[in-house]
Amino acid sequence: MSGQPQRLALIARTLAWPALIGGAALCFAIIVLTSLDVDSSPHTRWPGLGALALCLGAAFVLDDPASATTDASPTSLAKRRMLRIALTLPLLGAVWAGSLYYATTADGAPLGPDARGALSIQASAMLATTLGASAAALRLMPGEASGWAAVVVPFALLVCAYYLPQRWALLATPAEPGWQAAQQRWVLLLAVGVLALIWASRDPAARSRAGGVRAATSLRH
Amino acid sequence: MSAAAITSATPPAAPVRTAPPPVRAVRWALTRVEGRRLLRHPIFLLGMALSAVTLALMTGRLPFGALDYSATPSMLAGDCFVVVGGALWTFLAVFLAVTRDRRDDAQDFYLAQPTTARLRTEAALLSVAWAGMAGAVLIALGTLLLVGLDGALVTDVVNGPIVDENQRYEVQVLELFQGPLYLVLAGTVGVLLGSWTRHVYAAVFGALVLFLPPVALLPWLVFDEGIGHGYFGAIEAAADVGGSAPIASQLLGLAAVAAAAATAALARHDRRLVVLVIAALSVAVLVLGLPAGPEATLPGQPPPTTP
Repeated sequence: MSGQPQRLALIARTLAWPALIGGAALCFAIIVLTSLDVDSSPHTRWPGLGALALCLGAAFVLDDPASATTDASPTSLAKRRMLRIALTLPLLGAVWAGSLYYATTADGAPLGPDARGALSIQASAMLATTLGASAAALRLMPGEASGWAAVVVPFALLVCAYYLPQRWALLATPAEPGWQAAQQRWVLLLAVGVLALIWASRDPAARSRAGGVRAATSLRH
Repeated sequence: MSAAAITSATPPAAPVRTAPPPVRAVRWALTRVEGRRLLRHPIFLLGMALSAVTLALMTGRLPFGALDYSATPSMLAGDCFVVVGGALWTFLAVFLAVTRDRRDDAQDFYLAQPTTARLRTEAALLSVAWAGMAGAVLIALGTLLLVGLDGALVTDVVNGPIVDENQRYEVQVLELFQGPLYLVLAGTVGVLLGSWTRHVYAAVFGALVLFLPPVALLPWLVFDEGIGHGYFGAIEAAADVGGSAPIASQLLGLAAVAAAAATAALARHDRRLVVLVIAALSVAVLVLGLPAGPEATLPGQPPPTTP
């Protein structure tokens, strides 16, 4: 066995698969249940509810029980986190694609196949903000399993989607005038989440090494 | 003297009498400790703060928030604890407290303690009453501030000093119990989940499925013709549901669900017949009590009309 697959297998063993599989099952169950109720409002049949369940499972992805050991390895924190996320993306992507296909082709679906791209942007924004918050929690809070604190993000997004006033609405249908603005807000959330993930995944060891070099340079001068 | 004579002459050793373990005292002490820990838990405090903010915003007394007093009765009846209010956070805080030993891999340490796992579960269940009392204090303060001692509230403030008697609302004591009891139910479900699993993600998914609409409402929206009979967070004021009978039914249903959850939590450690009998009784009351309960709606939607 070559080194890389062996490393991936070891990382895969440390992932919270029950949480991911639970989130995936819950996502699909929500999508199917909402599709059964043909008469309900478009907001009740929003496929983003399924994406929120997926994100709840994904909030545990960055929690690494072996981080106390791997922190000392030459592989940077960003690369280790990228590998963890890359291992989970196929499952998350497949479940989301299947759920989205089902939701947009079901009887009386308020959001048709044309909205799949926009809905996927919403799901990506939810995932990015969840992972960004998880990485920030791991950086700011003590403990190797504090990343699950990011479960607050999907809950907060759920509340915001239903309770924010119209001028800040996240939830809209393509027929409504606020659709474009809502999509722009989702793109903004996506960017914020990705930036937070990048910021919080900088390697603390590299940062202190740079600081050490600067300190040494200043001493020489 | 022969050995046989010595043996026969020696009186039999008296059995060592040990004092019976003070189970009741230990349970009460544990309950007090757990109750105090729950009241000081940051997640619980966050939930109560959110409930207080919701109560203040929705009752129309501030320059921002709700424009009139129409939501005051339902907020005092317990709507301030629903969705992201105190119930969700009570559930999470109690779950984290109950799973403390297994999350920290400290079972061996707890096994060396004189208290049993069942006793600790009982204390956790009883400590949920502290959350209920905190909710009752919040509701009592809100009622005193917003309604006053006479219990009468005119919800129509648009017409100014001209009082529309159709908008006069009399607070009933019975409906004020819904919110605190909902907190107790949420905490009890937290103990149930925490007794059977140590994984935090179980609580996270449970919170989404049990307490947060519209996901928590889906089974009733789909299988009950859009009417949310049976949703735990369905809390209505007496003025909206016509009398106190539906409120009493809702209270009975909440108590039955809490009792069933408590029984199931204890069944983790003790599966004797009495536990099963209590469970069966609880389920019976649940089945009898809930169908007549008030109806729930999605956030931001008008209540369903009955033909």
